[in-house]
Amino acid sequence: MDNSKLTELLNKVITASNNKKLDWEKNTKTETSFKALLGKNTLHILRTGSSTYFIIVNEAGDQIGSLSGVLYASSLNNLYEIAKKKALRIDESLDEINSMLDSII
Amino acid sequence: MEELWSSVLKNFWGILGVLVSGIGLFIAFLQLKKIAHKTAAIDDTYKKTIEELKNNETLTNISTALQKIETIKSKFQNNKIDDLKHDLAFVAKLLVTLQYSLANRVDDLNFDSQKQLCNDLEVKIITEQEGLDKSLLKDEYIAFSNLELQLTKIQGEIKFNRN
Repeated sequence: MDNSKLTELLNKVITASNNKKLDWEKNTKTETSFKALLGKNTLHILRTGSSTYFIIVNEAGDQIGSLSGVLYASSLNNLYEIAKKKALRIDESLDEINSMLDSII
Repeated sequence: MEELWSSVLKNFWGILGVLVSGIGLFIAFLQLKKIAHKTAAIDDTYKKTIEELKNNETLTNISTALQKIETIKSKFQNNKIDDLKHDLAFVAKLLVTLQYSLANRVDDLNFDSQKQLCNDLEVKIITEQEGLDKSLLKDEYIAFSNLELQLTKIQGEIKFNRN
């Protein structure tokens, strides 16, 4: 798959994630990795060291596309933060903490 | 002759002053020379100590990397590929440090491909990709063996130059 196709796909994944159309979950292998099932394929966004990777793996377990590097750093970091927020339910937790604090103040 | 003596007696204090100043200057010169020599010796010791500390740090890093590579190879052989990710991340980080510290010592040293190999393998493990068993990872095993040889050679050269 060429990178322009993957970049377009990455942007669509960001939009779909922002619109809550993709369910991101924690990867049990490491705390800095999140995955979302899309049909028969799995989308992964992960950090190792200082790099962020967007990887697509098909149902057979083959890597069918990947993006990483400074050219895509901004989009990749954006997606990583969105996926982390969704997978760890950060917004829900913060809202809950906020309402609990409201009730005791 | 009498004229000479009378002239010497007349200028006795002046001549004495010149002699004393001359001796004083000579002593000051000797002292300065001594201080300069001491400073150079201290500077030399300092440089040697720093160099030795750098050598020790590099040797420790190489030795740690070699231990980790040994662990990685053993996990390859026992098909415990899933356990590798922390070792791979550790080696990748050490290679960055080593490339920096060895830059002035070894010509054209570049660990980029080995670092990439560690990252790629780590990503494969995390994303649960297929083909992660020892029968399919022969090239990776060879690459780690080559890295082991390269680091052992550098370690030997540093130790040899130190002695």
